[in-house]
Amino acid sequence: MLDVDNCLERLYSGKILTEAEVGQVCYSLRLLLADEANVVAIDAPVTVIGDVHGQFFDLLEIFSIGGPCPDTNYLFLGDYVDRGHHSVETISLLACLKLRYPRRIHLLRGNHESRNITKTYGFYAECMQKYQGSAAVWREFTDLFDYLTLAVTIDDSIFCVHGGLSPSIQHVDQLRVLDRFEEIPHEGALADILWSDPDAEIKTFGRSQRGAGYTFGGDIVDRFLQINGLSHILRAHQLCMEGYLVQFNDRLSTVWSAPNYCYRCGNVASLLNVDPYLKRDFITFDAAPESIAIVRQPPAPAPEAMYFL
Amino acid sequence: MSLDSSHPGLGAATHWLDTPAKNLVESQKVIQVNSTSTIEHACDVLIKHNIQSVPLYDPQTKTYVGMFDLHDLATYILLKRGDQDDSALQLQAAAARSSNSGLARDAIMMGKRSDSVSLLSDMSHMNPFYSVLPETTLAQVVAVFARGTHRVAVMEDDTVCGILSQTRVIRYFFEHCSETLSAKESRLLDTPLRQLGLVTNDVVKVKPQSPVLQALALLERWRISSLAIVDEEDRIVGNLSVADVKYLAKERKLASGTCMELVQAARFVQGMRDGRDRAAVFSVRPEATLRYALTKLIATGAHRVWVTEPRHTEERRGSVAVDMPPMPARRASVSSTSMQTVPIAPSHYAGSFNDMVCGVVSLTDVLRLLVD
Repeated sequence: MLDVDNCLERLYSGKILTEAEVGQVCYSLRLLLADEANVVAIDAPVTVIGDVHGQFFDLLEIFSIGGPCPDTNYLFLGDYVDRGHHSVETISLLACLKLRYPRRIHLLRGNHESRNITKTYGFYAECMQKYQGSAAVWREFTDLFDYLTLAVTIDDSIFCVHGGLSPSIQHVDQLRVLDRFEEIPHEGALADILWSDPDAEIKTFGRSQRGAGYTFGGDIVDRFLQINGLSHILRAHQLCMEGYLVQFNDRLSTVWSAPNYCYRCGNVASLLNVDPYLKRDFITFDAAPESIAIVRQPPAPAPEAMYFL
Repeated sequence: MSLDSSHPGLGAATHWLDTPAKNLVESQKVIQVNSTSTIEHACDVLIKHNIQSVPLYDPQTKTYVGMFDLHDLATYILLKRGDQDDSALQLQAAAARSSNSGLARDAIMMGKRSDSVSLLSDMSHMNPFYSVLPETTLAQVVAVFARGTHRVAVMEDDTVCGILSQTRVIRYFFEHCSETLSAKESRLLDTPLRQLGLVTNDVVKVKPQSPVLQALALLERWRISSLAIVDEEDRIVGNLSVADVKYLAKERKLASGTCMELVQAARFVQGMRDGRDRAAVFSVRPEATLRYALTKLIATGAHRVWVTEPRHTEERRGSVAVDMPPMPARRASVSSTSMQTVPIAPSHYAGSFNDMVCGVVSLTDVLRLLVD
């Protein structure tokens, strides 16, 4: 029988779970998420977090600034893995928190929650390294990713998604009826909402240089908000040097929560507090001291456990 | 303004192929490197300006002696590392060596004393220094491109006024094609790739754990710019192109690593530079149209996209199809510069992560089809 509290205790101290425990967590979480809709409605107040990308110590920093889960409601906009050196610790902790407090923390799917992306951008290699050459943990997590929800509405007013809008989706109901339980395709609505970017220089949609999704202009944002009776779009997916970016006359915001991205970019990160009156407040923060220590080192060889200093 | 016979009427726009080369390089800032520079400096220039090749200028003779590009670097690395203990690599390095000019053999015989770039120029014979006049029309330039040359130098009075690449020309065609597209060109763009002879199954592949040196040897041996990285089940997982070779100059230890490691390092740096990660593989299905492949090429700036197909008809998980729910098919305005209203690309045009690679569409292929 899985003891999630015990898992959480170990994870908070920086230890990783055993392969068997990962399997149990993912299995239980998949059952839970299978009942979650593609678009989940939640209430404010909630603290919204953007890309974390395996920066585990910065995730702990987020909890110390925003308040521990479940005391604070959290919404994560995706991209938990790849690039940082502790994707395993990051996704393990978040998965256990979701399992333990399913109504207090919500995890959206990002474009990095994908098999082929994680093979290129680091999560696969990290799993192999930390689990002695076994790909089982990677398979468990990537199977889990297929179940993550796609979007959240806060008080039926703020629409939250990882990437952006799609030419195939004018109404949120169209998102509700998608079959999301699969690997992210390269084309179509599911790909678009996880890959698209806003572009203040264009009108309507344009093709994305990322090779998936589209770019979309302010007219698309306005139309989407109007058709769906919404007031704002929150998304992540793009690095912001100042930690966040508000565009289109305060109709769309990008939240970025990985400070000093890749231990090199020198950016600040932010978390977004949405209060019960839907007032939005960005709090910026720098990299945690432990993250700064990683800066010039190559990824550590798999230690059995890591301890805080 | 010339009256093109296929577009009768006063004030008819010039056909894009009649445009002089100089129009496309007007505001270009030309970058060049002294032929006495080191290889490392030349590579730094390529990385800094995000370009694939650079003209080499001899300040003594005041002439251009060649172009340094990443194929030259690949050949150089193979030569230097050619004496590996791995016999397979030795064979391949020997093959690369023998296909090169006397310049290369001289370099080896001189004991590789000099690292000056001029020894490397044109070694690989992939991109000879091809020059055109400013008045040369695109028709002639595209004819050169269709044979596989990737860029030409536009020269006036012994000075390079600009480098005209396949990418630049394709973009120009795309931006102007809605005005001057002939019926034939339009039909061509709407033809599926399968019918254009692009599903050849003639693709050079490597495994993720193949050594980088083996990949370089393949690039040089077959005179290609890109390899498909396929896993043990023949599914395409990545793409190693000659553009990734520039990272070997900065991180030398990558040269002893695997293909996947080099690709990961390249994507790592790219994603950090513009804050936006890209899809791992750019691929299209054989039933996709040339127009779709072209849009993808232009949007991503890639020099080729892979043509891939599913291994066998697979059921998707879950009972609801991914194709759109019951709403009438819509034409969203997808503005790609001049393409006014483009239908939303059908989902089945895009390649999928489980696919096997069966062909490639490169800029050379597109240009060749346009002039045929």
